[in-house]
Amino acid sequence: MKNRIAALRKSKKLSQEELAMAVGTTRQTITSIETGKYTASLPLAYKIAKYFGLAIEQVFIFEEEDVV
Amino acid sequence: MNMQNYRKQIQKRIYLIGFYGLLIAVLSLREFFTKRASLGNDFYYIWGFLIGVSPFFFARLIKYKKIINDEKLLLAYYNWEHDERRKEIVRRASTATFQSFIALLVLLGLFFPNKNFPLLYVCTAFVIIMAVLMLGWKLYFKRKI
Repeated sequence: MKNRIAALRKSKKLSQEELAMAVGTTRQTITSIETGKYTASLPLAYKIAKYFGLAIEQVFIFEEEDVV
Repeated sequence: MNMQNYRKQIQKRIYLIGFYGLLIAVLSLREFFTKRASLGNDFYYIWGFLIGVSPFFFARLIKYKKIINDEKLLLAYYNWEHDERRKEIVRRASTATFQSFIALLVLLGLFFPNKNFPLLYVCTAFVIIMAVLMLGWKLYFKRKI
């Protein structure tokens, strides 16, 4: 699943570590989500979106192939 | 979880490792005075096992001592322990370890059907094999997800 986390993070001049601390996860998890290797759970996706003051669908881009 | 409660939990873990250290010290003193340990006896295995896994626990103890009084490190450790990706890696690695261990047992049964070893040797070998398999699978899934 694609997402805009890296762009949003850079616009706020945040490091991965800082974002991870803010949403209660680790830097490695943020890296994996940004690169699309790992799909965040709904609670984590909600926390990330809330942190940026956006809706989940504005941060995470759902595509047909993501729906199994 | 409240960080104060988590700090108490870490303190409890420190006490438990302390108790474990005490147990090693008592068994080592017993060995010093009685010289009971010899290759193959039960005491040797229990004592050896406790000493063998002690570096893992003492590394944890050092880590806990370091984070317990540092708010930022404590939060980072809490996040690491409750990290969903880490839990997913452990879940996948556990399943893979179990499956590959069963496959290994079948293969050993096929190639060495009539081998007999002492039970303690077999248990020790299985624990080591499972630990190595778990480590390998964890590294594999860390790269994958």
